[in-house]
Amino acid sequence: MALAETVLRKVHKLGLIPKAIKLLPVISFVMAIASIGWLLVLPLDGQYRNTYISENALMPFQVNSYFRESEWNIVRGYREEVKKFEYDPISSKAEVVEKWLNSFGYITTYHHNGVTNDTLYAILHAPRGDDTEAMVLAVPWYTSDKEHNEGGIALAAALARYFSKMSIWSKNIILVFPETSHYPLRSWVEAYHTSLDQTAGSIEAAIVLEYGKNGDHFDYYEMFYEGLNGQLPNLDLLNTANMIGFHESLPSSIQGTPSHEISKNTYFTRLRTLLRGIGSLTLSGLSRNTPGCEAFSGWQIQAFTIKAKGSNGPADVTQLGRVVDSTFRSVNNLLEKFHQSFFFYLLLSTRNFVSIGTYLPAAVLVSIAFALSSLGAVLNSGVKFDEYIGGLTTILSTFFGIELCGVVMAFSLPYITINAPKEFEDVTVFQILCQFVLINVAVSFSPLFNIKSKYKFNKAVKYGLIALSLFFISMLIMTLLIVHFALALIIGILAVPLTFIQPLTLLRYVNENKAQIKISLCLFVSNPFFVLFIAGSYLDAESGAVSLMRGLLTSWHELQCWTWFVVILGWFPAWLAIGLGVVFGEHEVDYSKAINKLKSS
Amino acid sequence: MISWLKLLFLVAVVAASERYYNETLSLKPLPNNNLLASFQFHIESQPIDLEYYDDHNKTGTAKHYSYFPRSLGPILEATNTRELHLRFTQGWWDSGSWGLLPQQGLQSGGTGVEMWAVVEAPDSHTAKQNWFKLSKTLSGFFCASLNFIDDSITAFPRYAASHPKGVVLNPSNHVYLIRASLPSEPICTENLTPFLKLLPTRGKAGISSLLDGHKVFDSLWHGMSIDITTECVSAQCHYQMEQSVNAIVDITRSIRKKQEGGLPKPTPGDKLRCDDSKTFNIWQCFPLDEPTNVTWSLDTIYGRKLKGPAFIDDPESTAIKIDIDSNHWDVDMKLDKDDALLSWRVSGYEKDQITEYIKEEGDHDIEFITDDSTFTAPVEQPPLYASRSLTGYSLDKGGFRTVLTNPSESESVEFIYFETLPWFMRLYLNTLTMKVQNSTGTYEVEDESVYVKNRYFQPAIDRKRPSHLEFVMTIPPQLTLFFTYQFDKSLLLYHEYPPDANHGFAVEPAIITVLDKSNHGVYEVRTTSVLLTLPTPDFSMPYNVIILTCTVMSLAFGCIFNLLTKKVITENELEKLSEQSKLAKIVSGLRAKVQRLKSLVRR
Repeated sequence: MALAETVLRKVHKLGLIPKAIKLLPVISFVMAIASIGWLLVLPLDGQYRNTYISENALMPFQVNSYFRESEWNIVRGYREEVKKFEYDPISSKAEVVEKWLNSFGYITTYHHNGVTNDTLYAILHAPRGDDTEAMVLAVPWYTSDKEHNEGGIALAAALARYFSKMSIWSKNIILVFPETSHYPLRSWVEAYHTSLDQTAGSIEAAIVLEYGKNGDHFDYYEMFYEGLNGQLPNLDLLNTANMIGFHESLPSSIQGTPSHEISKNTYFTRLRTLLRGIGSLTLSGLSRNTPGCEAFSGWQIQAFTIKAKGSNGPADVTQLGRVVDSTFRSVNNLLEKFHQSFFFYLLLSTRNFVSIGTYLPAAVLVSIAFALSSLGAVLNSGVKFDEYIGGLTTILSTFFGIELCGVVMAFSLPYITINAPKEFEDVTVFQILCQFVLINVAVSFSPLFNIKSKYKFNKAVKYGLIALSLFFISMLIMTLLIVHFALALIIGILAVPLTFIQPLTLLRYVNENKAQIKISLCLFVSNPFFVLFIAGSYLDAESGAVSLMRGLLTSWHELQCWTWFVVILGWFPAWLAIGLGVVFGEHEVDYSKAINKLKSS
Repeated sequence: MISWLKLLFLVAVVAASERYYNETLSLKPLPNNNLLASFQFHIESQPIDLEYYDDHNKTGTAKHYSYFPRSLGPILEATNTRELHLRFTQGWWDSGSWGLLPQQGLQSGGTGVEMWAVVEAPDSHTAKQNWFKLSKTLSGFFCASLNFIDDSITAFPRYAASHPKGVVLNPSNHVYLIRASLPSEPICTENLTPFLKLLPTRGKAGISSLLDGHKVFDSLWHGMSIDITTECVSAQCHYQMEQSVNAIVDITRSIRKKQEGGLPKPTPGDKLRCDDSKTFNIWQCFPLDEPTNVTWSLDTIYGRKLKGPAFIDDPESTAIKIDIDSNHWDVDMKLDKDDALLSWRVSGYEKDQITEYIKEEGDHDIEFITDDSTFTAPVEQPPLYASRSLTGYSLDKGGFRTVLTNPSESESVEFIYFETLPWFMRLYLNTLTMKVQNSTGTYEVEDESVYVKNRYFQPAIDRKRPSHLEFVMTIPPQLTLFFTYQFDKSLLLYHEYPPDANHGFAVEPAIITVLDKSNHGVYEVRTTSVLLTLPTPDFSMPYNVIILTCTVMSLAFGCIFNLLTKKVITENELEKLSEQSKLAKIVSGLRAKVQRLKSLVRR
């Protein structure tokens, strides 16, 4: 206590607090830089950990998988049949596969989702099992590359035959054949928990299998694991699969990094995997060509997608089957739910990770940056406290109005998109996107042209709005960061230019035009839809930002992914409030006072 | 077919009443190379003098039970149990391809262990006491966790079709039907051993000599049951016990195990059975279905042979019943006696039901030969299909969805739906919604009374009583009825969570008893059990809380202690005082000396 007292007295004597208040914008910026710095430190040696199996019952690769030798001939046998019906309608393909599965003793049924082709699924009830738990092997007819999932279907058929020979299963096995792993798979998972008549207990783990036309051999396998809304599968499941792959001496990869690249395991490969991981977690659920694992998000299902890459490598098709088989054997051993290990982590390579405690400060720092700059906007704008109280009603009602608009848009725009005729869907999405970009341009650049408006916010309202919005973003990041770290961090970092606006408005009194251009640029760059436009065009060169925008608009309806709501009810209103504050804010000011203020600082 | 079975049952009962022990092994090949094997044992005690046991009458008289197990009799008498029913079942019954449950499902339980008893007592409290005494005693007896039966899972079924017949020894008493089940109890060899010990043959002779734990439990589905009833003719009472082991055996797997061992090793290349009509070479093979022309025997399945009849002096004590399609199946009886191997054919033209008695000593084996195993004796359609599944997304609430289908073309089916749910599922019956589906579509049910004739619901009491739900329902032909209801999951006390290894809380199966016109249970079927995940708190949290609390406490203590022991002064006073403190004096003294030194150096 005495120490704190001494320090406080010293702080007071040296007048540090007013100095700190003046320096708030700088401190805030330093925090934002520190946040990025924190991320850059994570891939350094000593900052990350090696993966390990936390749940002893899993015992990965402790049993020999017999999916080998003559099973290879059988996989090839099935593949030729699958190849034959590549161009048939899905219903007739499903019929053939259904016949095979029935002959192994599986119970087959269809799920009608009313939108796409019916989804075939088959249940192998575990011999003398208690029929309360299940594992799912999902094999879409078309892979995420829109390729015919030839190897996948053949492998699934051969595996199904192999599984049915064993009596060791304690959990039921379900095979699902959706058209794609997007809406058809998600709606099946949802129906499984609401309306399906044939069920087999709660699903513990799920594997989505993708093996296109790679032939007998593939180079390496890639794993996808991002769930919806920041959910990830239990790290133990991924480790199990990776450990099995390692024992099979299969090269592996994650986050679109080829295996020869990832196996170098240098600082830069780890950093790249980390950043890509954050990126793909942010965007999960927004693309229609999804790997499919996110369809299982929720219901406490742990899921990942395994995909064979390349066609002439050292790895053999049955090896991928053995990964699936051994992973199922491991999950089969579980006497409890997946509860050990980590549910929140970032992978740096297939064998290295950082856990939530280590990476969380990055998002916390951004959040603090916004909180500080919000405080700075209040204290440094030269508005008296009484004036803020006076403007409080206007501030709150304006912000409330903006939020209300956000709510209306949040529900109306997806509704319009979903109900648009199929052939006009792209046009509708494009128009919505254009309108947002127009709003962005209008709000960002209108202050450059001294348009006289009847409505003016006084200074208190202007800075109050800016401060409130910045605080709002800070709180948004704070609430999101544990649930959806990646989204929180990305929003935080991309919205950082918003924190420059209040210091720049003060600078404007010195050099009006230059500062005004900077303000406009800051606003323009930090608009969510500008970011979306850039990101969308970069990710999908073909259809541009439209596909990402469509994903954003429809992902709640199709997959229950709430990224759209975070954007339209969190980021966008805050941006708009700051934008309106700048547009309608009072321009005529007491120059001398402001200049004095700047000089003194 | 049903009437025929009934007749057979009647015959069996009539025949049984003449002798104290008999046993039957029924074998029925099913499609997909499966086999239903059903072991039935019938045991009767000699007439005994039963008395009502209470505080006034504790000793009882010594009794002679003959074939009836001596170990069970006194337990039943001491707890005034008039009927005892035990079920040990594991697996999922595939009613789609196996049809009716063996013995009309009346001997099959749900997953885990199920127990119900009829207890004579003056009131329900005494009945319960006797019930707990009974379950605790039987727990050790059958190596099952029956001792975990407590108030929170015990129910008194209300509309049960098998209602107590009412053997009351003391006229002022009543009989109580009490029931409990343990759905997460695994069934294994340790349950079979005491089961065999109850038989007069002790598993050494007769059909029970086939029962080897490793083989019996390597099945697709299996169930053991014990039913003890007290039969009284005027004042003369005796115990009657039916024991059974029913199992569905996967013949293909049994043959493979016999030939290749237990490991699912890949088939050697030269033994692959490939489809010639498709590409077939040394690198590729489209597999054919499992062979249908198979030959197997009891030895293939059980790894043992049947060791003579149960009792040499009783030529009809051990019966074998076989149900086949005689056009495609041949059955040979083989006897290994005094190093001579005898073999004779028991099947014949249009002889689909075969009954044979084991009369001679020696190892008997029954060989089944078929040219096409897809042809079997007709599989009967059950009167009702039932399934139940868990719905819902979150950890705090969920729902049940039950699907009941009447497959019959013409007859509506009446049944009792009985369900007890653990107290931590807080049931909301107002959320009960019904839907029906027929060939034309799915419809909401406006008036539930069309399908639900009678209902009974007893809400749960936390930790004291399960919720208990019974519906008497009718479903018209060719109709599927869905009903759903919602529940909340409650938080338990920390010590009520099971230790680490737990994958959820098992909810016991619902029991559906199909009634005939005279309200007798003619068929019983159970849904599967369900695993319920309860919201589990992070148990490391208390430690964090303790640490945090201690830190806050110590901080608070520091402040208050300072305030209590120190004087509050202004800052100026402090600065003056601090100048006069000893340390300040030393420091200033030092400074002065340094100054002096400096001035000296300068000079």
